[in-house]
Amino acid sequence: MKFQHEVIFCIVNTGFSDAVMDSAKKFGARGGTVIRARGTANPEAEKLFGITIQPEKEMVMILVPSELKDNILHALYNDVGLNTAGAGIAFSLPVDNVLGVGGNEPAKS
Amino acid sequence: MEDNEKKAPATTEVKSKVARATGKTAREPKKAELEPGKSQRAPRKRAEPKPPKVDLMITVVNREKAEFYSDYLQEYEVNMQFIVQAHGTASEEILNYLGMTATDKAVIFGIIRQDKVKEAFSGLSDKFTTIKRGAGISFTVPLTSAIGVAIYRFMINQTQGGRL
Repeated sequence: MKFQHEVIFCIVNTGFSDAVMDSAKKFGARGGTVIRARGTANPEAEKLFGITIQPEKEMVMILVPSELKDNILHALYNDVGLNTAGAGIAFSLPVDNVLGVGGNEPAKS
Repeated sequence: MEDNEKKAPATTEVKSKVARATGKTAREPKKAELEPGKSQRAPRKRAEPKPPKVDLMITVVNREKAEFYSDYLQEYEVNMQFIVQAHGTASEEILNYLGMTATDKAVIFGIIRQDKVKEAFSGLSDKFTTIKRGAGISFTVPLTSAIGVAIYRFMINQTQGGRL
């Protein structure tokens, strides 16, 4: 099944949602929605992987056409990935019905 | 006793001769045929309808309209919803251009049956375009698994009925 749109979720430390949007907009994203969230991680796992989890998070949700997805995910990995201060992770989900993006007609992917 | 033992191979021979002549192998009698009083055919199972598939529906609207859209989605059997407060990422320039000031948003997560999506989107499309400050976006993500029959029934709005 081919999907025309994908939704990208990017979870970053608080304060980095602007950096996420800047990266995404470079590759054609038009807007996003930021949700405040709280991260949970096993302290042992933190020690094992040598990272510290800041509990306050922001979850940025960006709806994009499928052809833009790969470039945006790569940009997010480089700009706000786990090796940066944003300590972000990003993933995408296929979206099979979209309304309100572009035209007003419901689009079936 | 001796007679019976002698007759047995003869019967087998006859059977095999018949099979050779007709080209068919002799069929072993089924257990049901041997037991008198029992019907020979096993009752055919009636095909049960498949449980409906569901999608996760995500709707982003202005915060002041969240309650309205939540109630509206209820009409399309979106029983399980939760509303999360969020904010948009539109820049100042775009906001000024559109004549908007606030970026406060609400995200409504809900579970909708796939056969209701078209109908719901048609209704939402009308609301997005006709209501003042009621514009928004909505999309669905297919769910692949769910666990718990009671919850699943609640999600598909099936309170009574057959097995799942």
